[in-house]
Amino acid sequence: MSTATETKHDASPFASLPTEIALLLRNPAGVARRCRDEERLPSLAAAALVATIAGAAAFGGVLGSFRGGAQIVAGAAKVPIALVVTLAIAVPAFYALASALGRMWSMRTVVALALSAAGRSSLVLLAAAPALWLAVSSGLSYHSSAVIASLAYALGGLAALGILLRGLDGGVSKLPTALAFIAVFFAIGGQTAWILRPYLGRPTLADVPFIRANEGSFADSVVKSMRSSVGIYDSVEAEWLEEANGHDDRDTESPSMETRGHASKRGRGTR
Amino acid sequence: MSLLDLGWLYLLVGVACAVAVVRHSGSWQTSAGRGHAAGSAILTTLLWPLWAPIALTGKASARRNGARERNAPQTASVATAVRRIEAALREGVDTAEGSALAALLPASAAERILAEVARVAARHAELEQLLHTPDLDVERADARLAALEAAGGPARAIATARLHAENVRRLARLRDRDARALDELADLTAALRTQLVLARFAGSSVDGASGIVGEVWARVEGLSEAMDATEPEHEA
Repeated sequence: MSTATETKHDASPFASLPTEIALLLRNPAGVARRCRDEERLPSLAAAALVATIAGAAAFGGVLGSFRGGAQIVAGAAKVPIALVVTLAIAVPAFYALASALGRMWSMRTVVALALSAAGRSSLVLLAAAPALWLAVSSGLSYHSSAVIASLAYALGGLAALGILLRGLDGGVSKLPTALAFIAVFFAIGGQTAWILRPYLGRPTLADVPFIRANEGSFADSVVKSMRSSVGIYDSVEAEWLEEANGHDDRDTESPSMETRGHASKRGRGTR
Repeated sequence: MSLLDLGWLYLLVGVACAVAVVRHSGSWQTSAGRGHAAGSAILTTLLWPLWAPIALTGKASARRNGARERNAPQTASVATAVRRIEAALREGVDTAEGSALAALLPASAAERILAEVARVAARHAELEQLLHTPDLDVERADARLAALEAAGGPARAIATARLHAENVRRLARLRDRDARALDELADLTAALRTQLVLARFAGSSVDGASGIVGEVWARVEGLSEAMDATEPEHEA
């Protein structure tokens, strides 16, 4: 791409938004190549950023619609924040890993690749939002809603991989680099999402806080869940289990730490 | 440090980056330019870890792309040569298959040639990429040497800069040689294909095709040779 074209697109990064968003969805190989070649990156990055924020906000709002009311706004705000904060923290790590694994990428390329992958993922979340909304509106249970949301995230992750893996084409250490990126993203994304929860809002809660009090790390929760899965319950969780009369209600939103005892406004199940 | 303190610190860095973005944009003459610069500054303030690298490094990237574009014809030429070789060899094998000509160009031989061609094309692409990095830029290496010589720098530093510049030029010559060799091989394989077609349909002697096959193999062996340390200076 010519210097003139680059300059022209630098002047108005949002001018070709629909075209760039269509490109994110339809041509991951072309997007990856543009990231590597640093070709018209401002317009691509701007479109990816808009797609990331809009798609994640729509999906977060639908997640919040399970509880309704203010949780819709909270969900619409928190999911994009979680994604953008994760990218902001992860991108320097991606740059360092790419350099260490033999890729002569500029920071600009790494940012564009990460943003494009996140943008594509968020567009998939946007596409999945109506289906989740329909399911939630049809009275889907808390856990089933969480599972469907997780499936949508998995689909979004696969779409993001479509750009990431193509971006890693034609160089050394493709698989180690991809695995390192994924590991870093999951570690940072998991902790960020953990800090900003709840998203769905458990039906047992009288009031859903915007952000919960500090309850340890995402890794702690994973360890606790693994222990619980083999029948070893930590003290607080065991107390809650006794209170809940044996209902197996553990999940990633750590119900043991929440205020309990209120029935859902929808009256789903036992909660 | 509380979350609020962290937020203020984040905003402070964002404002500093936004100022840098505005100074970097230099497009305040038109209202559109001012609007773009202001929009970019707001975006940078809020999302500086993601937007600042994009907004602040645009001009450097444009310069790199300009340099890349200047070399694009050679890259495109190599890609075209590889495609021509692949097409010619595949058609040649198809033509010869099932006839007395099959021994001249069996599929296994074509695959070996294609593998060597792919290896050389990959080497060319790698050299092309390397020679676009600032450290291995021919003009920059020459300029560095000229600057040291003009300034009367230490003899050891000048010798090192001269060695570096010479090595970079040799890498550039190796890249150019690969491109030329692939182009010549593409012409040769095209000639081989037409010779095989002629031999099959016109019943002409296989001697001509045999000669070309020998020439193809010679060129393929030449491709795999590393650049000789005594390569003449004028080859470029």
